[in-house]
Amino acid sequence: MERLEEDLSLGTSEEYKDDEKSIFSEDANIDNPHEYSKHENLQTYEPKRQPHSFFYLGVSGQIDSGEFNNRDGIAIKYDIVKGNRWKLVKGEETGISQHGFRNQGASKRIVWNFPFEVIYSSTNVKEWPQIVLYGSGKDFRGREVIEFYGSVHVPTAPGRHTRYVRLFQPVTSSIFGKFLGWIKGNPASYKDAPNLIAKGEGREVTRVQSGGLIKITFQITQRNLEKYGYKTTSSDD
Amino acid sequence: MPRLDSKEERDHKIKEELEELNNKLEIDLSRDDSENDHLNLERPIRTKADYKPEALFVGQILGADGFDNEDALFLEVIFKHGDHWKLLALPSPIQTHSCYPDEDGTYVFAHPFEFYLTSGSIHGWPKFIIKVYRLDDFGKIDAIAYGSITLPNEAGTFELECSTWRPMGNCIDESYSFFLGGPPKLTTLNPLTRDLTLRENISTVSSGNIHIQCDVILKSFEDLGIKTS
Repeated sequence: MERLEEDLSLGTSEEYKDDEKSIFSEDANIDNPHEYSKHENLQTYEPKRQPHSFFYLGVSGQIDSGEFNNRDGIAIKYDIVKGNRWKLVKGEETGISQHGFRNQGASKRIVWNFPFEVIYSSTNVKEWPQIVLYGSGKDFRGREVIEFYGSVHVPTAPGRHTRYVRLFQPVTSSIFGKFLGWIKGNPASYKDAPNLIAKGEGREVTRVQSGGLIKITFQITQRNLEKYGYKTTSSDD
Repeated sequence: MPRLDSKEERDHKIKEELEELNNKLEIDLSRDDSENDHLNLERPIRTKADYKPEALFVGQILGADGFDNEDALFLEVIFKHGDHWKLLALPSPIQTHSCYPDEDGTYVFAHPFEFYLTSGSIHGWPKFIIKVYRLDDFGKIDAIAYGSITLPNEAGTFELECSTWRPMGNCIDESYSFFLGGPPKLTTLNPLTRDLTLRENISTVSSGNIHIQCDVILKSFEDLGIKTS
């Protein structure tokens, strides 16, 4: 057979002769037709007909920033509180952020940019998860003291949401108590904190004042909730 | 010479041709496929229990503003629903903590609530009835405003604002309440939602707003043909 004229644009013939190793491992035996048809992506598949037993809720997002009137150097701790039926599939349910300070300018904004990501599975929507937030700062002796509390429910609709959460701080009923709390590094705080904040029972006898405003961004992903019959958004498919 | 078809024979021929065409369309209504439903996972057999409508209201009483007050306020919130609704999880009566206002006059309650109900009728959609109490420096508690708001019937996230009012008395009562506290109060909560005809006899004074954030999940309302959005 006559040798065809070399096409110099393709490089020299020696380079071109090597069997090019594909960077995709599945293509290794692509010339063998039997190998190719066995690839799992070519099996028949009907996603809507798969049996299901749980529904899944993926909550990711970050605690962006906050504004406190005259306090500085605040760290945010979060706790996710949910019912018994909800099982944690992946992720961490608690976390503590860094201590954030304001910028030197006039803005009162403290930035944490603290991400979180959890995945839950359940069979019932009751006792929907909530995120309980604690704001803590260091006192004059360097001790960590929790001062602000707040909570927000995880949004029920899938997609991207921004929530502004107002925190509150408990107020001691007497001036002397306040002074003592300041000295000991133990101001008024809640016992049994996550449940008290998340359930709201037992808080009737406490007194609080407004604390600060925190911006949280959520991204919610859901799977199989529609198959259970639950409708979480009003938009048409 | 072939005999011309009479009218009846022509009709008969036309009928035969139509029948042939119908057969060709391959519509066989006598075949019943419902036996194989259990294999059709896309539309599985669901029992009547799967179609009982349920609603989940999840959210927070965020706070209040617009009350010209420097004392602490707290709210008592009563969850009211119609006869054919049933609560599936035990609720707790909502009484918030007492909050002092900040410079803007906003109060922070941040009181979470969750109600999971099953419904037998769209009448009596759940409502909140809110009573606002004032706690002054001497520890005295006074009901200063009332309001009611219906929870959303659409699935999604909502920010609700409930406006409140209080009954107004004559000059003597009003000046008494201005200097010493103790505004006129309602003796029963019936004028709020239960018996609205009672409202003909009262005059009221406007008060502040309560902010509520509510997320709603609905189950099986659409399947039964009930459209809410």
